[in-house]
Amino acid sequence: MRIHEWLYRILIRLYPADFRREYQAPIQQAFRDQLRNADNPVKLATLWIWTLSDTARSVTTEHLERWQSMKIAAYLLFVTILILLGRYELRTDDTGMVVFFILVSAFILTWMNPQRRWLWSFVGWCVPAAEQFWGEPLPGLPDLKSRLMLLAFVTFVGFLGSFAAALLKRSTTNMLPKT
Amino acid sequence: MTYLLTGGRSGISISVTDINAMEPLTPAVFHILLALADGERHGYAIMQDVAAASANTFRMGPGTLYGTLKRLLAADLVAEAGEREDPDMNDERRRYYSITPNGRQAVISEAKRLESLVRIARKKSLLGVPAR
Repeated sequence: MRIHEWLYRILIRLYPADFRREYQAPIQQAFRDQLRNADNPVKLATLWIWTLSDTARSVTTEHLERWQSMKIAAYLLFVTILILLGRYELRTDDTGMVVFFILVSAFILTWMNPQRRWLWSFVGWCVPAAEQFWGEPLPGLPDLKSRLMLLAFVTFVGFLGSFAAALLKRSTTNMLPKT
Repeated sequence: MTYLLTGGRSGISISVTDINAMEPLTPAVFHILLALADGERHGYAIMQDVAAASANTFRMGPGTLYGTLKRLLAADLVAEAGEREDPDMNDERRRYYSITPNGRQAVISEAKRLESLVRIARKKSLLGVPAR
């Protein structure tokens, strides 16, 4: 029985540290109790199949819950990174980089908070905003019309990125096990 | 009064402000509260009660059990009731849990909700002869 307990102790390492601190002992105790009742190889195999399934489900839930609580700090950090990357992107003067930057940013923000995907569609506005802030006008955009077209373009790209993330998030959320 | 429930398929916690307006309890939450309605239990006893009450159709492993208990404690639906030995189980010290008044109200509300759904199903003859 000791080897089974040892193996389960390794599985418990997958849980977040604070959860382990609080619940490792009673979780191991409950598993030991289950082991005592598994008095033949078939019951033991069934117990392990069940335990692996339970651990996968509950580890995912615990980590997702912690991710939720770190959202605000993650948003602030991400917006800061966006502004700095917007500054870098302006220097590259490459449309492909603009599109890639906005797509990835909108995708990640929407993944973190799908309910605000319409807001994240406007993440591309940080490009012309950074241009104004750092005083380096983008070449080929001398007048208001061309600047408005740029805003429309970055909004469209942001919408694509956030829409893709929302679709993918919905389909992966439906795959997560119930608690 | 605010509390957290695990709802939906993702297992993400949601907050609500009124017990009577809350979304349905998840099966794990409902079964744990039912098991504690009879009195204090330690973790393994809760697992056994749930398996017995559901005729082994619903089983919880230790990870799911203690994750749910953690959320129930945060939501004040369950309270810790100290540690002591269980003479029926090799005298190891075990952590006991009890249901709180909020938890009792939550499980009663959920039972009433399910009862009304069963009534509707009976009227539609989905469960055999409709009740009179």
